[in-house]
Amino acid sequence: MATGKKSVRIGLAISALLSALAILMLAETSAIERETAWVLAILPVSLIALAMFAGVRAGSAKPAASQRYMLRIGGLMAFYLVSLFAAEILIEDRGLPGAPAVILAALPGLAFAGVVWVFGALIVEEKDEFMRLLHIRQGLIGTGIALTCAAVWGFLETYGFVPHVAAFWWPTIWCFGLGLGALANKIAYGSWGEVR
Amino acid sequence: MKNRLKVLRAERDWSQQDLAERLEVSRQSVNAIETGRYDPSLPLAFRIADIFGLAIEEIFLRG
Repeated sequence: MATGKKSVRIGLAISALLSALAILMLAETSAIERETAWVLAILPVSLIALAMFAGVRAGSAKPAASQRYMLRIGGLMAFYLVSLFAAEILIEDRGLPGAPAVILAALPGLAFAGVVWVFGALIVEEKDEFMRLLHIRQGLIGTGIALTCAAVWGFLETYGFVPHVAAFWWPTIWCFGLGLGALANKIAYGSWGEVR
Repeated sequence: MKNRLKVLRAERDWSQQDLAERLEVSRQSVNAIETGRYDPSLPLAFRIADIFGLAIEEIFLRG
């Protein structure tokens, strides 16, 4: 258990460091607009901060499934930021061509998809049936919000009422929807769940 | 579903955390069951009954 907790702390520390580094470098190099850099970095930093907060609150009683979730999320967010930064520098600034550019451009999206996988693994590995219920509710609420936003925005966009937005906003909204799912759990069941 | 968990705990001077550790679930789970916000699965209900040495229907009440 102690080794696991240490690994979580190390993973989260590395992720937080990389997040801060990525924010600074993206803004500093003007690889993307400063505002966009901040917006893109909000999600991973928020996830890491929330995971660390949850870890501190739970202390040694933290279940193994939640520990693995935090460690995986920390690693994925670090991978997301590094791949995003690499894509901005190598594709946008230096004009990397062909298949390597396509693969590199896909990596941040795959990191995002990994968040969904990690959340699914949490549900599968969770031994506490009440916590599993809360996780599933969180996931369904996040999914409902994201797909509703995507569907409504898509038709509004089709008929010219709203501007085009990049598709990566839908999984981003899904992640924020998990937070609203935790709030809904608190209201309905009196518990936020292990993961916010 | 109503239940007598709080009374049974008090009789044994157990906190929610004590019961949670015996059941190998979170304290939040015990709280949700105790307050009637969550009905446990049959396997968990049997574990609760075993820990108190009672039958399920002596802990969980209809209605």
